Amino acid sequence: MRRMNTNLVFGQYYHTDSWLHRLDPRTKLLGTIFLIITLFLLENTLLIASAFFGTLILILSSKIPISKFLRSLKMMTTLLLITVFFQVFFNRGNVLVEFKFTLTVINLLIIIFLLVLFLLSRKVIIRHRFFLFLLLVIVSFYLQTIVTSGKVLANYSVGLYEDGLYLALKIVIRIITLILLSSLLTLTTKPADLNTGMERLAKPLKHIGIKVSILSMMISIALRFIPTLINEAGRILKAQASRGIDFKEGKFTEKITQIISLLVPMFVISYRRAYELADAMEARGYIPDAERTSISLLKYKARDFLTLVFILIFFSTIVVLKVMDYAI
Amino acid sequence: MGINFSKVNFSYQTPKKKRAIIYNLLDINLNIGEKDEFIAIVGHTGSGKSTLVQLMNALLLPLDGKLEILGTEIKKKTILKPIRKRVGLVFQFPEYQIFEETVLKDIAFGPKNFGVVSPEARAREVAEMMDIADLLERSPFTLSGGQLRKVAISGILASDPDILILDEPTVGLDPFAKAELLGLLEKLNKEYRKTIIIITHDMGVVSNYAKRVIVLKEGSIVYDGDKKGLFEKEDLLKKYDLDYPETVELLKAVKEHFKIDIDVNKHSIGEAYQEIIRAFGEKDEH
Repeated sequence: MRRMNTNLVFGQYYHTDSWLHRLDPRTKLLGTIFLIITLFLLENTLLIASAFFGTLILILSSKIPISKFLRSLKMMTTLLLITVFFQVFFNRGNVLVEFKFTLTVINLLIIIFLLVLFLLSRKVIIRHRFFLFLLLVIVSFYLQTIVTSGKVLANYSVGLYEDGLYLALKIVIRIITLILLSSLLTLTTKPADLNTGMERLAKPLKHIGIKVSILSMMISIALRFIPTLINEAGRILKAQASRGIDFKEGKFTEKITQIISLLVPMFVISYRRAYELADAMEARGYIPDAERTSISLLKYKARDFLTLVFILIFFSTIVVLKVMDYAI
Repeated sequence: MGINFSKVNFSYQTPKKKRAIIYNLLDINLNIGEKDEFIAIVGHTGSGKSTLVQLMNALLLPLDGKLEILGTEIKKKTILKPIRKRVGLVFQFPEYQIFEETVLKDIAFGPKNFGVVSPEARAREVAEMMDIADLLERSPFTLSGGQLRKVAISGILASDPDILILDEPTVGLDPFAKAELLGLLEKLNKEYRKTIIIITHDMGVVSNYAKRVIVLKEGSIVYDGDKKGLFEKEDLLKKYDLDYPETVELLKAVKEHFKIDIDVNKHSIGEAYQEIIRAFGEKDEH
C-alpha cells in the first residue's frame, strides 16, 4: 500500500536509458557548469535564443517527459513574473504604449468600496482569492481611465518601454534555460551519483586541508534524511492535532506554541537519529579519516571524453570571441 | 451515536481525472459504540489499520461515503476540534509528541487546547490514575521509555475522551510495563465505561483483553465480531495474515503430538493449563 509521504524522495531523478543517463556524473557536472557560464557570457538575444533551443534538443534526447521540466519551471514562475515586472516598468527608453490614469474622488471611493467588499468576502468566497485580488487590481486601474468626473486628485501615466520589454525577454529566456539545464542534471543523475561525482571532482582540495570525504558523507546523509524527517514532521503534526492544536487557525501567541510543539519533538527526534546513526556507522567500521573505497566506481569512457571536449571547445570559442570584443 | 462508517472509501492520493486511484481503504462499513466497547484492530502491515483510526478522529477525511463521529457528519468544513476532544488518538511511539518543560505541563497541554476549565488539576488527576504523580515536576527528557509512554497516553486521557484509540501502545515496552498498561486500559473500559480501540499485532493481547475484533486485509474489513468466532476459524494465517495466540499454538501442538482430544480455543495461560490437565486426565482413564 502506498503512502503519499513515503513517495516523497528528495531529488527528482527520472529513469530512462538515454545517453545523458549513461554519462559519468563528473562529465555532467562540469558540462552543466560550463554551459551555464557560457549562457551568461552571451549578450545577443538571438544567441541566447539558440542556447535555449540547444537546451531543448538536449531535453528531447534525454527521453524524459517534458512535464517533469515544466514542474521545476513552475516553482520559479513567481520569480520570473517579478523580474518581468521590474524590467518592463523600470527601464526607460522608447515608449511603446502609455497608459494615462486619473485618480478622482469618485473612483477612489469606488476602489475603497471594492477593497472593503473584497476583505469582507473572505468568509464567503474562500477559493481563488488570488485571482479575485488580481481582478480587483485590474478593475481599479480600469476605473481610473473611464471614470474621470469628480474632483481630480492626481494625474499620472504608466509607460511600457521597448528596452524594458527587450531586456525582460532576454532575462526570462536566460533564467528558463538555466533552470532547464540544472533540471537536466538532477533529472538524469541520481543524488548519490551526483554526490560521488562532486566528491571526486573536489578531491584535489584535500591538499589544502579540506576533508572532502567527510563533507560528502555529510551531504549524502543530509539528503538521505530529508524524506524521513518530512515523514516524522507529518506524524508529529497529526499527533499534536489530536491534542487539539489547529495548525490552520489560531492567534499569534497560539501560533508560537504550535510551532514549538512541532520543533521541540523534531529536534529530539533528529538528535536521537543522529546518535543512533553514528553508533550504527561506527559498528560497521566507519572511520572518518580513513581512505575508503566506493561501491560505485566512476569510469571515464570515450563518450564522456568526447562530450567534455566538445563542451570545452564550445566554451573556449565563446570566451575567445568575448575577449576579442565580438558582439555576442 | 458512536462512530459510524457507511461505505467509506479513502485514498492518500488526490483523485484526478484519467487516473485509477489506489484505495487505501475500501468500502468500510462499521459501527462503534460510544461506551463500553473494547475493540482490537488487527491485520498485516499495510492493511490500513492506522489509516482507519486516523479517520476515526477526523485527522483524515473520507474520499467518499458517510462518516459520522458522535452524531456529527464529517465534511470538509466540519469544525473538528470538539470531535478530537471526544475521540482521543494515541499514535505509535507517542513519546515523540512530548515537548513541554515539565511532565505536568505536557499532560495539561491537550486539555488547555480543548478549553477544559482547570487543565492542571485535570492533569494531576490523570497522573494519579496512571501512577506517575511522582514524575509531574520532572522534565520529560529525563524519563525512561516506559514512563514517557505513560506520560504521552496521560496527555490524551487528560482531555477526557469518550473513545480512546491507541495505535500499537505496547510496542517496545517490557512485559511488566505492557501488562500494566493493558490493565489500565481494561480499568478505563470497565470502571469509566470508555470505548477502547487498540491496534495490535499481538494476538495474546487480542485474546486476553478485546471483546470485539476487527480484521483488516488490503484495506477492507474481512472480519468484525467476537474473538472466539475469529480463533475458531481454520487457517487464520492464510486467510487473514494473522497468527494464533501463543496458548492456542501450544494447545494445537499438544493435540498434534499426543493425538488427544483437546479444545485448542483457550486464550489465557490458566485456561490452557486446566485444559491440558483435563485432557490428559481423560486420556489416562482409558
